[in-house]
Amino acid sequence: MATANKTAKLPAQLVSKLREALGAGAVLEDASRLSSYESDALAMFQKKAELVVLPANTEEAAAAMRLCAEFNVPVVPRGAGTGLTGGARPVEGGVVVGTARMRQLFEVNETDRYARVGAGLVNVNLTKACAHHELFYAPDPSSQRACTIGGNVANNSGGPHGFKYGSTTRHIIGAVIVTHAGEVLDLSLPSLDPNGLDLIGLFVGSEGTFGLATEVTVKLTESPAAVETLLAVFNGEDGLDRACDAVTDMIGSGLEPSAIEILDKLTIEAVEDSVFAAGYSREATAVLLVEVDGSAVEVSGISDDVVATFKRHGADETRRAASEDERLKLWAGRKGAFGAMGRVAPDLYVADAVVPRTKLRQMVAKTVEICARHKLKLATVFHAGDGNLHPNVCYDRRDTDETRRVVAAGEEILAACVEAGGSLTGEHGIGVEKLGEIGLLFDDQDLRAMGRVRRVWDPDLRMNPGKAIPLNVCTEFGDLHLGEADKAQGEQEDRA
Amino acid sequence: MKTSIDLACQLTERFGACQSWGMSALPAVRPTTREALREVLAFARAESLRVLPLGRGTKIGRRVAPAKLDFLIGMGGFNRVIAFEPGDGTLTAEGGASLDELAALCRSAQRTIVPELLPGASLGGAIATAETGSDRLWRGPMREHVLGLEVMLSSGATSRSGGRLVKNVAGYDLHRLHTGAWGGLGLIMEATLRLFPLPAVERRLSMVTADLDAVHAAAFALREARIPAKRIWSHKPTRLFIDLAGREDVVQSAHAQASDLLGELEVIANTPGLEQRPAVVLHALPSKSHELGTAATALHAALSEGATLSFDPLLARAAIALDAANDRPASELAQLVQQASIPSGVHVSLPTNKEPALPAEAATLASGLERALDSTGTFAR
Repeated sequence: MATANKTAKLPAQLVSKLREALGAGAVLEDASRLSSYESDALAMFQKKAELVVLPANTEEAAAAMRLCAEFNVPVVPRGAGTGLTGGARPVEGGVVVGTARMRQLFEVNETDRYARVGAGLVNVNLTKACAHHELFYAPDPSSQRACTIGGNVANNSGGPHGFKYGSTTRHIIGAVIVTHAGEVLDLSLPSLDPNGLDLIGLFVGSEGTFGLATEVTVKLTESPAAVETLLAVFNGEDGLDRACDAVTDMIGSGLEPSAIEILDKLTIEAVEDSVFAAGYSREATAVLLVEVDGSAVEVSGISDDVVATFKRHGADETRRAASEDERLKLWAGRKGAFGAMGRVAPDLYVADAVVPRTKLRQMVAKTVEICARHKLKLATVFHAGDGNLHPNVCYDRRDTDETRRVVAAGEEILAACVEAGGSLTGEHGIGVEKLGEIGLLFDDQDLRAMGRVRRVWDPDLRMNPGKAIPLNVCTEFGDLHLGEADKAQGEQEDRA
Repeated sequence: MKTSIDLACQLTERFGACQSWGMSALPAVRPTTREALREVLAFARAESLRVLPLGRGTKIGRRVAPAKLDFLIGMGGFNRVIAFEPGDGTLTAEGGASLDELAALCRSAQRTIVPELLPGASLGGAIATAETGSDRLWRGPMREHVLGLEVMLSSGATSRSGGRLVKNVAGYDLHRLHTGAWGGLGLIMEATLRLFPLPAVERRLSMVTADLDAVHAAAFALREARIPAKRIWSHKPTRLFIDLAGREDVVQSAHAQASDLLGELEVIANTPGLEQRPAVVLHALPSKSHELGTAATALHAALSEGATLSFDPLLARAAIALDAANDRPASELAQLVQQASIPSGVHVSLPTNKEPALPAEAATLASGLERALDSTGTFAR
């Protein structure tokens, strides 16, 4: 295995060849422009990018990747940089390859219900482009006005409506991938089932460590005939507990809304003080936002049952959006929640963990307890229906002690969630942030198998190093041929 | 450790399911502990033998015959339910567990699993084959609902991915790779599936149609009108079925809408055994559905009276089953398929018919992945 050129300054010849291949305008070198690429939306971790290239299409991306291979430098794929785990910023130097110029909408196929798009297309623009066919792209991360389809593929992104429609992986049926060597792997031919091994299913969620997706074939979903948004307000000290219990009850009784979201008191206050004000009650200690979609009859029936559940758990106020405007306003508060928290503190640490849905109440209470112990300001907004918690810690990164406490609380929250049978991440990925914790979920054997798979895609480990899984599990056998590594492992097992 | 001779002595039970590949009955082992399973794999590695995991053998004749296969590993001894959590919407069980028994367990708690298959399959077998169920139009393919797997690799090491949660993106999704890999990468030891609420009502509507053109037109008209259906299909060319499932009010309303669109629809019982295990499956994209239906009809006619054709226009899938009296060797079926005019974009799954070739780069990647997880090539592919 060759060792990537990780620390040395990028060779001048590489930079000039990249300029030649992509045009000078597509190669960013000056410090002021590079500063935007120092981090993703997790501003806590920053690292100066050495060089950023912005290819316009697959051919240019392949040319750039071939040059990176020739000069043996790491490659960091990047979409819009809205990720929350440091996945799209460099760790070991190298070239950031951004997809921002690959915003093409190549094809919308109404009959077969798929679209082929450039990886840099912004999520919400795809749904807008399909609306007249009464189709939409279902995954809707909160950042959907900025995040790209390629970024969603890398992180297997979720979103509020993932409760019904599932995360990105359920909606990707093909891709064009530029490999570590700059070869083009065309898996874009649409098909209801994979031909042979499910390479696309494996690629989704690989956090840019397998290759760079330049084009994506996505499944489109039929727009529902009817949609209704409902709100329950819970006041008092036990408001958040009761909201969590209502969610567990809804799921236990087999109701299938399309989204189930909870906002806590601090989030509600931040939203109501911001341009995203949704008319949530300021008395509330928790707001439960539920959306139901489907046929008109289905929506009406499920909505009645949802309201009955709200009442069973003592909701202090229930509301059914009476118009499309009101519905959008209720959602604006939820979708704008992260932005609104800028009013509370300069920085926001958005944690992402999953717990079994029957343990929502106890684990939400646990996050409150942990943050209180670390004297941190917690605002919680989360995909309650999926058990996907987002404890958001408001802090100021210029305060080193507070930043240290944020990191400590984040680690403690993750450990508690895993201890309760949960996971480190529901939709943001591992990135840089959680690399140290992945051993809580997977043992050495699990990680070694993942490491061997990674080396098939990227033998030199130049693709987004320092993310997703620890590199040492990919290299523990040094330069042994993989087959020998496997045999050695088998012999170990035999001895056991 | 047991010697190779000890293990070879266990390979006495013969299993005949591989006859559809033109192979004589193969020896099989049926370990019941992980330790024994590791010994079996070590034996196969030491003797350079090729093995294939076997669930309940219900779909074995549907895949291309492996180039080399020495013995089978029956997984039926691994059949425990590990964790049933209806409140969390998950079920974890061992790979050899009966899918029918798991479905019954789920029903007892008002839950259901995907896919809904013909009786007899094992959990691991259903995952390994990624078989399409009768609920696919409604719930999607099985691969979307496998939340996590534990697999034993040919080295004897285990490899887990995913987990027991409905949402989780930690680690690489190796379970997506194993789903549909036909046991060629490892043995499925444990699997976690997403559960769905059991529909309150299921209703099958039916009408006689002139031909497959009418079936095709009706299905797309129902889709255009956004009438929610679990399945829209035909059985034998001239009877359309619309399977509805869900809340009572939703089923009632969908029934009324479908009747408005298509005319009077008869409510019939969900007859068990209406479908048989297919001998030939044709599949394509929905835009090719009409051409697929025409090709399937011609193939069905060539197979004479003892064959039954099912057609799901919206999934662009047709399945031809043969009565016991009309059973044909795979080679004869392949010959009939060759004589039929199969339009481009329509694929035919037969034990002798390889899937369309992958692009060269993809094929190289796929074989690299196979080698990475099974470096000794112990699993038959």
